Amino acid sequence: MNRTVTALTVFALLALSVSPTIAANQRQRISQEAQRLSMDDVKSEIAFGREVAAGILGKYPLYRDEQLTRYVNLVGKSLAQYASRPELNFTVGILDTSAINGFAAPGGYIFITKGAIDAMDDEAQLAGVIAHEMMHVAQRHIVKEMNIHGTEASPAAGFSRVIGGATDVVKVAFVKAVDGAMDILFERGYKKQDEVEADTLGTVLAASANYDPAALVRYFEKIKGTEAKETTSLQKLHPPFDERIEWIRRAMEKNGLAEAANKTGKGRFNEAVRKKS
Amino acid sequence: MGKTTLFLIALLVLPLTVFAADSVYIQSVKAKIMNEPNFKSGEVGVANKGDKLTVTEKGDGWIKVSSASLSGWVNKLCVSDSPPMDKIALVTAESANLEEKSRKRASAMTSAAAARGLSDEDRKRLTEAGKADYRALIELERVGAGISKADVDAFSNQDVNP
Repeated sequence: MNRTVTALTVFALLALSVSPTIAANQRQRISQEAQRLSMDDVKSEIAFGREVAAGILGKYPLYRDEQLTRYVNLVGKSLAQYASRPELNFTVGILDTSAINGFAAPGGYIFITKGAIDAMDDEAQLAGVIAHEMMHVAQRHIVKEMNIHGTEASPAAGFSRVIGGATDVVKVAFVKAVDGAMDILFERGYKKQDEVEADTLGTVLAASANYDPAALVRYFEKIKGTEAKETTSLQKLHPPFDERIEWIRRAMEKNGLAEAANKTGKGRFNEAVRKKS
Repeated sequence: MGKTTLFLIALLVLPLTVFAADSVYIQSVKAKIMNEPNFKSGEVGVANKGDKLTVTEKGDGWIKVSSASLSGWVNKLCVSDSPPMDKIALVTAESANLEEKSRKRASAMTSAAAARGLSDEDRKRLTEAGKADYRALIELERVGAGISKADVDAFSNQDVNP
């Protein structure tokens, strides 16, 4: 009995000393997470992304077909239901250019070129491309690289200060961050790891919304043979198609998506883009 | 060792296990809970947006979770450490009156300010230089805002050809 009492006493002392530490760590972790993505962070991300989106529309004009725009938005919003950013209103625009490409601005602004849509065979391919761009947004690739927060923790942050009587220095930092985002989108491209993430998570996202997970691979296989001038910018800003196809196939295998027989939505796509079946 | 002793030990261990356990929240509208960390392993059940699940194991791209009613693997894509936020809409030029009112309250000032982006003067300068098109952006946002949740549900559930 004495031994039991001693053991219990030691255990009790241990529990009393460790539990508060764990509890404190837990509180700290929760607090760090809250700091990492607070409501202000998200608002700043959206407002920042809105400026970048306006910049993209300064590079390429908006393709003004309300019916087609509504259709690509329905595909985007259907996908967004399965993404990890329910607080964002994803909006998809079509850019009036024959170049084949897609862009994502922070906060939920996605752009697909008319050239890309014309090169697609079905809705699953459109969903695959939108899902890829959506994952750049959801994973906050540009936001992280530009160090945008709602707090005053970074040089480009303190977004509220930029607006509410900001100093010129902060304002210049913000404008620089927008320029930096445009540089990633049109000159440098994302980091390779970010592209891998967007391709692989995008494939899982499209499959979660019941689209054919192999659609993006089918699309890349098709545009590989497209006239060079239409894919120059896409190829300059992304890793080679064969490499991307390979890591998407590996992700499909790993996640058990290889045998999934999901929808392509060819009929609805053809109807929406006014192609003949 | 008697039952009382075991009970005392259990009481002491309980706080440790509770604090050590991580939780995740479902962010997507629905999330499939699978038998194994892949989508072909068979579905154990479905978790809904906002559900809090206890993490019991972490894998590559997948997390093993449990709740009172189910246990299985969920893809990381669907979860986050924090509860899902409501949709966040920014104050736009169309709601300038609201913005003006909110400016009078100190607590709302930051939000209203953060929502405005660059100043009108900055935007005018960028537009004139052909570096941005805010009019096109507003047009696009209007199309997006015109789509309701019911529209999305009807679109998602529509029976389309394979």
